[in-house]
Amino acid sequence: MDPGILLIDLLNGLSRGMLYFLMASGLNLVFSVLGIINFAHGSLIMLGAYFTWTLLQVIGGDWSFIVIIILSGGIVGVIGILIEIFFVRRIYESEHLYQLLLTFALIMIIDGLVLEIWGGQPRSMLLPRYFLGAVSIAGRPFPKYSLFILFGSIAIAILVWLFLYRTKFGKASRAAAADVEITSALGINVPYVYCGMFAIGVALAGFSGGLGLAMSSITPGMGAHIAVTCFAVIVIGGLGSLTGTLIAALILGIFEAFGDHYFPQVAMALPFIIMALILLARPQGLLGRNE
Amino acid sequence: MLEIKDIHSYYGSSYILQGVSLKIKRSEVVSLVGRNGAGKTTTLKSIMGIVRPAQGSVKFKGAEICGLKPYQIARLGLGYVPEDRRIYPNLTLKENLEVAQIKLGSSKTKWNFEKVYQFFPQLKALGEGRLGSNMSGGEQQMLTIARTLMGNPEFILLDEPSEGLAPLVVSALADAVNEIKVEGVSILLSEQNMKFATKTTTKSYVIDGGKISFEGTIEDLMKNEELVKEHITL
Repeated sequence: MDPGILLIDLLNGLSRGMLYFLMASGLNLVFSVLGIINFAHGSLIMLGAYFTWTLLQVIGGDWSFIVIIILSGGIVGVIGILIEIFFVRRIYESEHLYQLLLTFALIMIIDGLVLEIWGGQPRSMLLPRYFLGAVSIAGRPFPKYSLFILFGSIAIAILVWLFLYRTKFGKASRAAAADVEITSALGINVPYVYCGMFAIGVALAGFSGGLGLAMSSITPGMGAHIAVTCFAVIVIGGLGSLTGTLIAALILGIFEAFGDHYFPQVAMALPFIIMALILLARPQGLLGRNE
Repeated sequence: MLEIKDIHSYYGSSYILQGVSLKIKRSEVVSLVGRNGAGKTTTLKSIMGIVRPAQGSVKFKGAEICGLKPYQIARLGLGYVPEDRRIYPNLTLKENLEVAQIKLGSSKTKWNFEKVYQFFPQLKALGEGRLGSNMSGGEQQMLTIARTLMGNPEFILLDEPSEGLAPLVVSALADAVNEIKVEGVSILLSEQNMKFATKTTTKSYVIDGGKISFEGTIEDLMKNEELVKEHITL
């Protein structure tokens, strides 16, 4: 085998894996702090992509691209705050079934709104000129934009880590994830932490949608498909473990990249084959806690 | 400083506190003794706002706090040390302490890392990066008290600190409680262990079936053999 091709496949896998991490990390953060499984996470990723598409049409310009992606994440984050205040906040104490009902309803509402606002035809984004084409790595072409996704995702992953482990809000949210009652009795306004954490998780979704779907065309309803991948990632990694999510996302990305190249017939099923095999060996996921 | 008048609290549908009244003055250390299930923990949780009393009044520094949320009560200067050493297992020792400081912002406070470590040198010896899950029971109990102190409370609700700890550790804890008292912090201590209660407190309440059945000095309580036999394990 040609080592150059292997390297390109590996880079492809890392780029894809880091994007999966970005997409799934918000879902896992919201679950581990709030205990809410947000089935609408994929739809919010899609929403981020649509905002990016529109802002690119309105603002345009090559150099505003990164600002537009960040802005899209921010807008989705603000929507997240509203969703938390008006809906999610009401079901923390309720049975899990209500989470399913609520967040499934959100999928239908978001999908319906997207169809209403952006229409049913696929939309594709205009990448800025400096992201078109490829760079040469080990004598082989590698898409510039994939490289941007790789480094962009790594940068965001570092920011998320710094946020959780170096800021007061991050520490308070990890404390609240472990013990709500005590955290509250230590003087921390837990509902405020919950709202902020939900917004951050959702903003990560919006951001990853803008960043990751810029290369493909976007269609209403694609959120459900993305959500399935996100769930595969956090289940493989172990619910509640962000490191697990990172490892699982990279495994999935790399296997997919090699799968696309060497076994294209089974590439679609690959995430689920990996998930089944890992869960057979470790039902709680790679780094999940055994309960 | 803390005055509880006729509080009634439910846990789900069971009627736990059936009219509890307590009064603790500034710089006083008072014990609330009683058997398991007598209502000690529920009393402390009702003061802290974790359990919301159905009826009654809780006044702290003259202001009514009954009905406030736990975080609001904590910010008024009431500290809560839970039973069962509920430290954060996923946080490091230092982070456990930091969480209690978050509400204070950057203002200078009486209690800081240096002072807390001086109080509990065992904690400093463990190293700040030690995970909460990786500590012994006694160390975890010290950390829960240290954590509450970091919040700079004027009054501490201390729930069964000696439970399940070795005698030597219990004795070290009693020393720590006495030192906290010297710092001018008032304490309401829930205890079953009379040795610990007599070492640390002068005034005592006995709770039984959700009602206060005795109020007086700890010497008077110990003299009352019948009461001691009935409600307390020595």
